[in-house]
Amino acid sequence: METKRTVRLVAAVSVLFVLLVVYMTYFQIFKADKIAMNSYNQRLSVDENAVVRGDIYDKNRVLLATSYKDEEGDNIREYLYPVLYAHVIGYNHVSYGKTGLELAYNNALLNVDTQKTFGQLKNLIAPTGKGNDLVLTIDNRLQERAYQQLEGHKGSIVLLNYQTGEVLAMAGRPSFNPMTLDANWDELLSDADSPLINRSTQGLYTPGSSFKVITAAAILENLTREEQIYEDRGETVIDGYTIKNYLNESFGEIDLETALINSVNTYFADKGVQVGASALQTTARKFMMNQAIPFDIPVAESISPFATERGLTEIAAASFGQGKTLVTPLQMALVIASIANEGKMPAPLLVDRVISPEGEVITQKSQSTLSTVLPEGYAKELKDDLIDTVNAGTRAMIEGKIVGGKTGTAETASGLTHAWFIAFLEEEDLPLAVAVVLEEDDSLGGRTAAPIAREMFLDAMYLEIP
Amino acid sequence: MTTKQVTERSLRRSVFLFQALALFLVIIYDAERMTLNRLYFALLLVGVTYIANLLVRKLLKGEPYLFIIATFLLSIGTIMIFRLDSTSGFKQIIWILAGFVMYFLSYLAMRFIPKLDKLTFLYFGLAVLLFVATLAVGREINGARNWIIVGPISIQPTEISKILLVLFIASYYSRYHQFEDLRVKNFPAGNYLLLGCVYFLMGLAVLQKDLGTVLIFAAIFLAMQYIYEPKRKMILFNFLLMAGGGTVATLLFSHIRVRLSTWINPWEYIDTIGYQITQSLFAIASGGFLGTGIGLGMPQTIPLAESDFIFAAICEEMGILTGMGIIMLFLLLCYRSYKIAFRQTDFFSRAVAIGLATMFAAQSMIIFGGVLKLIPLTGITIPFVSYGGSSMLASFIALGILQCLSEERERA
Repeated sequence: METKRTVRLVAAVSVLFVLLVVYMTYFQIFKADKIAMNSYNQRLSVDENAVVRGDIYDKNRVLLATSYKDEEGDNIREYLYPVLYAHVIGYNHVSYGKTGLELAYNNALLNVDTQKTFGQLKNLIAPTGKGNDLVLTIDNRLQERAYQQLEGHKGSIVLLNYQTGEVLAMAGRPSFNPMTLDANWDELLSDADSPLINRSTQGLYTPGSSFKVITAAAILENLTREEQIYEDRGETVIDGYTIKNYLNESFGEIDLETALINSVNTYFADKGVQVGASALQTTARKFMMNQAIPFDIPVAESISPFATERGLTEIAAASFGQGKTLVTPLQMALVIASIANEGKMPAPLLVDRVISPEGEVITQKSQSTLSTVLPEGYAKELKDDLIDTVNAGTRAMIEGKIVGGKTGTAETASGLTHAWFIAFLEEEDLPLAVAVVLEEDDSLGGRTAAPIAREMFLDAMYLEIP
Repeated sequence: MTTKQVTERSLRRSVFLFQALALFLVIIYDAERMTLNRLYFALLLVGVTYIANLLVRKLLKGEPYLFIIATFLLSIGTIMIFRLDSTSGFKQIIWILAGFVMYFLSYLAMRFIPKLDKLTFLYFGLAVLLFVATLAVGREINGARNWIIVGPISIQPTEISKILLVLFIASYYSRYHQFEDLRVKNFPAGNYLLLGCVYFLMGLAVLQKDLGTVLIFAAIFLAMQYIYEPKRKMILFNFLLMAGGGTVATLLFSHIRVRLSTWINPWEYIDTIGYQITQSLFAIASGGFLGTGIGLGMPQTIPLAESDFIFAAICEEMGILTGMGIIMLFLLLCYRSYKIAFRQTDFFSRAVAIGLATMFAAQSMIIFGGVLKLIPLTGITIPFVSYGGSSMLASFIALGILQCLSEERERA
């Protein structure tokens, strides 16, 4: 009896020891990576003092950020245009953490091999001591111009190449100086205007009429030519709720193009309801609404309520960009880019390539299509409508150039409107799309935002075309 | 040449191969700060373990593996301790030397002192005395009041109490019939005598906030009771009592609740009470299967990396595979110890072997599981591996007893 029980005890002890080994294997394979990457793991930050963080350049190799070691051997990060890139490049601070590209490209900038053991072995044999550099798609001169254009406003400008998706400028105001965080941190945190937020990718705004581009796409795809005709009386009642045009204007019998040119709310409200929430939702999703947009820095998901709201009033309001719709400026730049690019939304790019300190290209970003938003035929038609919209008298017109776009004046809870303009410039060497939003500016998009878009196009043509 | 000799020799060789490789790394890492100390340490460790193994092989008969396994374990531990802090590394070698002495002494005591099986209440009394002394003059270090400071030396008497507990229970069961019918008035006190004594000791350990020791006591008691208790109902009763006692203790003592909540979600308290365990997990997770290599990790960020958390430090720099190796060495150590019981004719000797094997098993599992966050963490040492004199001496005393027991059949 004693022997039998002892055998059982030995068996139990052995099983427990073996289970420990099994658990360690499981831990290493399934849990270790996530745990090791926790920001509290001091092993991650130590690498930083051993390596000089890589530099960041604009597309023309203008130096934007660099690092050097001070007398005590600590790494000092220097930003050459600190306020201009506070949101895009972000900061790398011991206490306040990392943001922007400093966070997203931390491993590349430190030349940390993701294969940890192998990386350490390599460092042991040949310590490089210098991280990799980033070359951005941004043109520093355009970034500077964009930031200047926003002077006196809150808001954002996103300028990109609508064929390649390369972001040429991405500016936001208010901004801050990432080199004086220690002195200003509390102030920055408590500032009601939230200067720390990257408005271009994280700011969620009511789009107002600029959203009508998406509704127009849904109308083109889902309604016949005849169904697209509408008898406007200046107002329409949906579910007991009256929707009016701007200044109560009435346009009579109109088609989609006239509705876009005059930004007729009643048209988009009624036609939106006619198309229906589910078709609107399908189109909105193709435009990457309610979806994660892959980008070099985090992008907030734009919100379209078609999937969740069933009330007709909500659908009508969302059809002309009011109600619960919320978008990021980058989202709207991509919306207008995809129409200009004849239905293909380009994947946005911010980092063009990662290069080693010796200049060898380590990763080169490739251009790709993020989504096909509309069949080419419809896209071309919508594109023409938007060109006509600008030509009908928007302040974004450029003599001798083809510009298309849509204004927006979004009503907000604060009572102060956001002024929007999204536009494209059709130019063979320089296919551009831009989104301009002036936050709580209490002005009309066509008056304030459109001229800024025009200035950006003119500057880009002057600077980029040889 | 028999198979036995071959495996024995190859095991010895692998110990020295490990020492050679690991010590080579210890000597060359961080070349800028290289000192002759490292060479002295290497020669000392190899010399001391070589001579001890030679002596054991020449002088003692019986089970040959136990001492080699212990040598392997202490080699891994001491090298890691030296890498963390060279002074502690040298101190640990002194403790190992003292441990060897205790090993031979306890071997001799076990072999030549007669009637060890009759000293039931001497063992119990000594254990109580150690606890009371600790409670009276002890100091609280790292949350447990289980240290006695004598001049420059701090002693952890509970390490010895564990062995006393094994001897007590073993001798109790060997004289079971003498106590069985003990009655106080009409109450069958004999049934509850052992239970009462063991719970009294566990209660004293709880008072010291030494939860690890309580768990080891409980494991030893349950295992020996399972094998030897003729009144099987008592096992169930004991089990229920433990569950109930555990629940009551959890409700009563906040330090037990803290251990539980840091076990359930340490990430929530990463800056405070969850700091130790999360640092341990970072180390284990960062090392990977093969480890960073000795001197290339950051085990100094783990609190108590030399003692309670040495397993995490070893996993980081020598790899999880070395960690698994340590676990397997303990499996072997326990297996060989249990095996002694199968060959022994003497009841007391069998019971002691089973008790000590269970002690090694419980102690190592509780701390392995703890640093891996598999079970709530309790601060105890890994026998032979962790830094600490009391732990090393007690482990060698237990090993010396086992060595003697393994020879018993030849003596008989």
